[in-house]
Formats: sequence, structure tokens, C-alpha cells
Amino acid sequence: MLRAELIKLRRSAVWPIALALPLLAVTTGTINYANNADQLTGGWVAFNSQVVLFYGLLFFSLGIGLLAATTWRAEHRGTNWNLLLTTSRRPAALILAKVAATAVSVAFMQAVLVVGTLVSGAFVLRLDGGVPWQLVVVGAIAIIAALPLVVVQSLLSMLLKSFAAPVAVCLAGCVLGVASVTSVGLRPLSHVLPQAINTRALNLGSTALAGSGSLTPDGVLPILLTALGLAAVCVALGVAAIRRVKLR
Amino acid sequence: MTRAVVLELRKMRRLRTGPIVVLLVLAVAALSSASQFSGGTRETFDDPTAAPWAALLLTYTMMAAMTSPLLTAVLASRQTDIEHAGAGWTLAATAGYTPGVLCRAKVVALSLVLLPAVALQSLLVIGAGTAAGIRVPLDPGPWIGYTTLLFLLDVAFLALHVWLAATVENQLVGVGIGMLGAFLAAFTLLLPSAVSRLIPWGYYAVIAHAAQDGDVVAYQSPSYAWIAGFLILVGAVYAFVTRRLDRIER
Repeated sequence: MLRAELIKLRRSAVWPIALALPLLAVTTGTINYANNADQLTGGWVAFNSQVVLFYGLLFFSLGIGLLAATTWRAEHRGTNWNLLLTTSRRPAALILAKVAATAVSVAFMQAVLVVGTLVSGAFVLRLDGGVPWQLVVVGAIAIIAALPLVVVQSLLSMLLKSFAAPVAVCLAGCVLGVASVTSVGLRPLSHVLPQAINTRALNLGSTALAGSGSLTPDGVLPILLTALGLAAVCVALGVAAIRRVKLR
Repeated sequence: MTRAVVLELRKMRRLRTGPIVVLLVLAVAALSSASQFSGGTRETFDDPTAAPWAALLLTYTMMAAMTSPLLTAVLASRQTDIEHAGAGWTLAATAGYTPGVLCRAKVVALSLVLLPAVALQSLLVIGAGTAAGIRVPLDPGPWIGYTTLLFLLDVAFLALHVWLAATVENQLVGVGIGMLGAFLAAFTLLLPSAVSRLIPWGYYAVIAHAAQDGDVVAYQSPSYAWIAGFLILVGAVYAFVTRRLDRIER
């Protein structure tokens, strides 16, 4: 089933978006760093913080919303949904295949972001110091941290037939996420809201966002464990939903 | 045309356009005014030189720029995508509403929904500022000016996205461009206005009625000529492309 999903993904239009979004983040981060070079003296750390500023708050999560909506769109066209209901495979297999396909494109997005940041930092800005391998680690952590949102958006895209509606819901979640990450009162929410988990993962070791965790086992493990736990719970919910909810 | 607009408004009920708009308006207003309740901001409330209202308008501008392009893309995509299912274009054309008329009616109908929404959004932000305890009197001019221009700009982008959603069936393209536009709109606030004017989404920064210079936030007048030019250009292009939609064969 995963192979079928990957074939669908290969010919879909997600790649230009998955390529353009991180490249835009790197470009804007580079321009911003170059313009404020006298105030930002932190080298690689400050540069990476500029890159993930908007990307981490909003656009990484929105990108995931779009990618998830795309993987489900084909099933809502024509009579494909009826066809899907006649399959002899288990519902869980379908949901996991969709999640895995979305995660592949999210991983691609992260790879572009990390490679773009390294290339821009080394060759455009010519930052001092060795190439910081922490960037690669944070990039990989962010893929795992993205799993809850991938699952949630995947479920929304399954249940809502419209393409754009799940993205709107994701935007509302992002707004809540920004509020939970930046305000002290709502801080507990930032540990369970998928969008906020993304923001916190991408900002590990960042200097632009106050209260960012550090890149140590103490900072990383809670994020990874909640992400995996939340993703598992949501997959179970999805399997229950696909059995109970009757879509036409 | 009036009948076509009424029809579009009827279609919105099942699309739940109303709840989506209300949800996002509340979200943007909440995000814009969240900082008003923090301690550091509160100390500026009684100090006219700190210009708390201008600072609030600037935060609001930032949040509106970040979310409006995507909001318009989502609304336009939902309203237009339904015609691709079940040969809606052909059905409407046999009833006398050609694709071009349909697209224009969609923009008018969505604008009718967006007008009270944007006004409400601004009022909510002002209300939050008052509730948080800003004592400095409010100068309504920049706020009214910004809200009006924000609405007009949203209409321009609704037009773009309705056309995109009608011509490119894959809604990923329209919504994806809306998302990249939101990114650009937020980023152009950090760029000089000479650059923002050349990027369509940069106009979300060009209409800003408040600006930060060093540590000081103050009201400013945007360059109305550029904004008017952009809106007229979009209107003319939209009139042209929707007429073309009538003639192409599907």
C-alpha cells in the first residue's frame, strides 16, 4: 500500500511546494541576517534562528497541512472513495501508508531546509566556525516532532472532503501554537499542541525565540516522546474514525 | 449578476464559509492583541510618547500580513473547487451564468462576507487594547485607513485565487501559492518599501499605517498612489481574464 502511495506522490505537484517553502525560508533568513549583521553576531546559531523564525512559527506546519491534504485529495475525487472502501486491506494499513507518504515529503522539505541553510551559511554569508552538525540533528528531530501534526492533518483531510478546509484548521492551530509558545500562561499547551511541538523542535538551541529548549537530552527527549505518543494515539483515533464515520 | 451573487451566498452555507471566517478572524485578533497583556507592554499604556496604539497597529499589520493571503486562498479555493465536481461550470453555463460571470459573482459574494469580518477583526483588536488598559486616546484615522486598505487588498487576492482555482483544477497550486504569499507578505514588512511594491504580496506591507524606526513606533501614511495603482491593475487583469474564461473550451 505504501508503494501505491509513493507512486501517487511521485507524480503529484507537492514537490515544487516542498522545495519552494524551505528555500524561501533560507532566502529570507539570509537576507535578514545580512541586513542585520551588525546586531546578529552569533554566527551559525543566529543565522539558523533567523531561517526558522517564520518557518518554525507558521509555515512548516502549514506546509505539512498542504502535503497531507494532497495525499488524500485523490481519494475524494470521483468515485475513488467507494473504491477505497472495497479494499481488503486493513484500515490501519491505509492510514499508516498515507502518514508515511506525507512524512516522506516532510522529510524532503527538512532536507532542503538543512542543506539550504548549510550552503547559504557557508558560501553566501561565509560564516566563521566549522559547519555546525547540530543543524542536521535538529532537522532530523523536527521530522519526528512533525509526526503528530502529519497524523492529525491526515485525519482531517480524510474526514473533510474539501482540500482547503484542513489547511484552514491547521492555520487556526498555528495561531494557537504561536500564542502558546510566546505567552507564559498558555505554555503547558505548547507541549501537546502538534503545531507548537513543531515550533519548539525547530527552535531547539535557537536564540530568536525566548524560552527555546537546548539541544541536550533533557530538551530533546520530552519532545520526541510526546511526539511519538501523540502520533500513536491519533493513528488509533483515525482507525476508529474510518470505521465509524460514513463518508459519501 | 445579482442573482448569481445570491446563488454564491447560498452555496456558502454548506461550505461553512461563515464559521471558517469567524474562526480565523478571532484567531488573528487574538494573536495581534496577545502581547497587550504582557507586563512589559503594559508599562507603555499611560505614556503617549510610547504610542501604544501605533505599536498595537503594527503587531496587527504583521499578523494580518501573515494570515490574510492564506485566508483568501482558502476561501476562494473552497468557493471555486465545488464547480469542478459534477460539471458545475457546464451546469451554470446552461443556466446563463458563464464561467466568467460565475467567477466575478464569487469574488463579490466572498467580499460581502469579508467586509464585516475585517471590520470586526479591527474592532476586536481595538477592544482588546482598551480592555488591556491603554489610556492614551485613540486616533481613529490610521485604523480606519488600514482596515479599509486591508479589505480592498483581500478582495484583490480573492480575485487572483478565484481565477487560479478556476483555471488550475489541482487546488494544491492555489492554496500553495497562498501560503508562499503569506510568507512573502510577512517578510516584506522587514524589507524597504521600494522592494515590497514590486511583489504582489508586498502590498500587505505597503498598506502599513505604522512603522518602527529604531525603538520608536509611530503612525505613517502609506503611498496611496502605489496601492491604488496595484488595485486598479488587479481589477483590470481580472476583468480581462474572466472574459477569457467565457471563451475557452473545457
